[in-house]
Amino acid sequence: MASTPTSALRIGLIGAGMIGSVHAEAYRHIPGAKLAGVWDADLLRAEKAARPHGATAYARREDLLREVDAVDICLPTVFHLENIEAAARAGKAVICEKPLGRTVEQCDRAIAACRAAKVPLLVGHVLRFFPEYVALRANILNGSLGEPAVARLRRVVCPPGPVGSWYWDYGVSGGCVFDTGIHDLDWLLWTLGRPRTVYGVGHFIAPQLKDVALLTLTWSSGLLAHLEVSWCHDTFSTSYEVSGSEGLIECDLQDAVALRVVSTAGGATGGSAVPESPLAKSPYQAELEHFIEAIRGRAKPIVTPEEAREAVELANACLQAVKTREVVELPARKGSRKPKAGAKGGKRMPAAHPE
Amino acid sequence: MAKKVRIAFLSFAHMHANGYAGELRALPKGSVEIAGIWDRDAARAKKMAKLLGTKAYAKREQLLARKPDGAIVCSENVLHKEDVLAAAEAGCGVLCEKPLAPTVADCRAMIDGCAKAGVPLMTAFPCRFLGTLMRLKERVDGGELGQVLAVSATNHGRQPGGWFADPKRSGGGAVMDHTVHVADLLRWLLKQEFTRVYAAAGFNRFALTRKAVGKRAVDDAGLLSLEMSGGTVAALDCSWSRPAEYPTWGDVKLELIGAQAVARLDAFRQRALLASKRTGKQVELFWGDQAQGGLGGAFVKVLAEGLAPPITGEDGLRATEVVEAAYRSIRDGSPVVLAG
Ligand SMILES: NC(=O)c1ccc[n+]([C@@H]2O[C@H](COP(=O)([O-])OP(=O)(O)OC[C@H]3O[C@@H](n4cnc5c(N)ncnc54)[C@H](O)[C@@H]3O)[C@@H](O)[C@H]2O)c1
Repeated sequence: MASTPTSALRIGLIGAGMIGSVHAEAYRHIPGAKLAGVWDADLLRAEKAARPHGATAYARREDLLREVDAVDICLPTVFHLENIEAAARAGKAVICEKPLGRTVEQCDRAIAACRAAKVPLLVGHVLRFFPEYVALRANILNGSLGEPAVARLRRVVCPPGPVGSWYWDYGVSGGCVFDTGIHDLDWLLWTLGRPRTVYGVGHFIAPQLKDVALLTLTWSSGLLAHLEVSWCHDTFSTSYEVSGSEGLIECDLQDAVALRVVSTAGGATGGSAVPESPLAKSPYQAELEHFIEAIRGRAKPIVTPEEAREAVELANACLQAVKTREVVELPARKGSRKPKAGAKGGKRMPAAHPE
Repeated sequence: MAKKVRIAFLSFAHMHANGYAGELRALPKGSVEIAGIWDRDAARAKKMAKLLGTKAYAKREQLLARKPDGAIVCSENVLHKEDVLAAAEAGCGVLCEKPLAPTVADCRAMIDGCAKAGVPLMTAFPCRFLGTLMRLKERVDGGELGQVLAVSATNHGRQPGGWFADPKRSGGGAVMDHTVHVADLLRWLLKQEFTRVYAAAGFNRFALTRKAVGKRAVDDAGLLSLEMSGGTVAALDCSWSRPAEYPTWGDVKLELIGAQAVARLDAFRQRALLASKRTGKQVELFWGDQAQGGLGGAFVKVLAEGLAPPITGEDGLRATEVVEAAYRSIRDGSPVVLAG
C-alpha cells in the first residue's frame, strides 16, 4: 500500500465491542489508515478500544464524525442504518459490518443514503477474504469441479453472548441463521449465484443459549447446497465440501491446525493446547485494507452494497423457511418484494421458532 | 450347543452378500453352513458357489426345497419382495438387504408374509454393528448429550453403477440407496419416529452417473431435512458425490448437537492412507471393527436360538417410509408429513 502515513485515512470506529476491537487491531497494520477516534454508547469501551492505538474516545457521535474521513460501523445489526445515514449526511465514507441491515428495507435506505451523499459503502463480508474460501471459489470458477452439484457449508460457533445480549434477541440479531449463516449465504451468492428455493429446520431456545439450523438451498441449474449453522458448539469451526460433475474439494478447519503447541509444564496431569493456523495477514486486515483502497478509488470494491443487500434478502428467506417450515421461493429477479412461502405443503405444527 | 444352522443365499446382486458370507465363514466351525446359492445370474451363482465351497442352484425353488433354516436375500431392490416371500413360504427365516423394499406397501406385504409363515424377518442395516456406532449409541443412551436438538448427517458414496443406476431394478438412485442407513441409525439412536420429510435432489449431476445411466435420469444428489417425534431435527446428504479419484468409497458421518454435548462421529475414520504404484492413487484402509460376527452372525443367532431379530421388518419399513416421502417431496417441492 503506497500511501504515506501523513495521508493516512482517519478512521472513526463506531461500536467498540467484539468485532470493533478486531478492526481496531487490524488498522494498526494498515499503513493507509489510522484509527483516529472511537464512539460507543458505552464510553468506557470506547476508551479501552481507543487507548492502545492513540485514538480519541468520543462521548458524542457528532464529535467523532467531525474528526474522521471514514467510519467503520461495528454495532449490533439493527443500529447499522441510523449510523450509516448519519455518516453519509456528514459526507464520510462508510465501512459497515455485515449484515448491512436486519431487513431489506433497511438496506435499501442505507444504500440510498450513501448514493445520495456520494460516499462509498463497503460491507464486511469477510469470508470473501478468507484464503480457504477464496481458493474454493477459484477452483469452482476454473472448472476443476466441472459443473457444481452439491455444496456443503458448515459454520458453528459457541454462544456469541450471554442470556439477555442482543444476539439472543431474535428480532434484533436474527439468530445464528441470519447473523452467522449470512457469511456462507453471501459466499454462495457470490460464487454460485442466486438460489431458487430455501428450506430449513432448526431450534432457537434463547434461555438455554441454543440456536441451530440446517438449511437446504436449490438452484434452477439443479445445484443443491446444505448449510449447517449453530450457536451451540464449544468452539468456532467451519468446513466446506463442494462436489461437481468432475471433482470434489473439501476443507475442515478442525483438520487445518498447522501448529499445535502443547504445554507439558503441568506434568502428567496435563496442559492446554493452543492450536493455530497462522496467516501473515488476517482476513479482517485484508478486508479493511481493500476497503481503504476502494475508498481511495484505487480498487474496485469486492463487495457491492447491492450484494450485501441480496445476502440480507436470502438470509431473511432462510429465517422465514425455518420459522414457517415451508419452502420459500426467492423471486427470480432482484427486487424488494418479500420472498413468498410455498403455497403447497403439509399441515402446520407448532413452530420451533419465535414468531 | 445349538444345531448347525443352514443358510441359503438368494442372489449376490448386492455386493454386501460377500460381506455376509465372509461373516458366516468366520463363525465357529460347525455352527453354520452355507446351504447353497441361487442367483438370477447363473454365472454369478456358479462363481460364488465355487468361491464359498457350496452348490449353485439353477432354480430358487430347488434350493428352498433343501429346507435351509434361513435365507439371505441380496437381490436387486425391486425383487426383494418376491424372494423374501418365496423364502418365507418355504419356512426360512429371512435376512433381507436394505432397503427392505422400495415401497412401504411392499415392505408391509413382506412383513405380513413372514408373520403368516411364522418366520423371522430381519432387515440388513449393518451400520448398527460398527464399533463406532455402538459406542456412540452407548454414550447417547447414557444421557451425556442431553436432549438432541439437531443431527447433521452424511452418507456419501461413489456411483455404484450396474443395477443401482437403473431405477427399474433399484427403485431409485442415491436417495433410495443412501437414505435408509442414516434413517435407521437415527431411529435406533434417538428412539424417535420421523414426522416430516423434505428432500431436494439432483439428477445425473456427476460424470460417473452420466457414464452409468445412458439416457435414463437417476437421482445422484440428494439432501433431506427431517423432523422427529421427540423434536430432533436432522439433515442428511445421501449423494453419490465421490469421484473416482477420491481416496475412499464414501462415508457415514453424524454430528449430534445435544443440549449438553456435541458428538461428531465419522464411522470409518479409523483408517490409514496408502499411496502406491500398486493402487494407482491414494486409498484409505479402514482398520476399525464391528460387533463379533457382525450382521451375519446376529442373523445366525436369531435362527439358532429362536430370538426376535435385533433389526426387524418394521425397522426396514420405517426407513423406506422416509425414502418414499423424500421422493414425494422431490416431486412436489414441499415437505411431506408422516404419521410419526
Ligand atoms: N465479520 C465478522 O466476522 C463478524 C463477527 C462478529 C460480529 N459481526 C457483526 O458486527 C456487529 C457487532 O457485533 P459484535 O459482536 O461486535 O457486538 P458486541 O455486542 O460485542 O458489540 C457491540 C457494541 O456496540 C455498542 N452499542 C450497542 N448499541 C449501541 C448503540 N445504539 N449506539 C452506540 N453503541 C452501541 C455496545 O456498547 C458494544 O460495545 C454485528 O452486526 C455483527 O453481526 C461480524
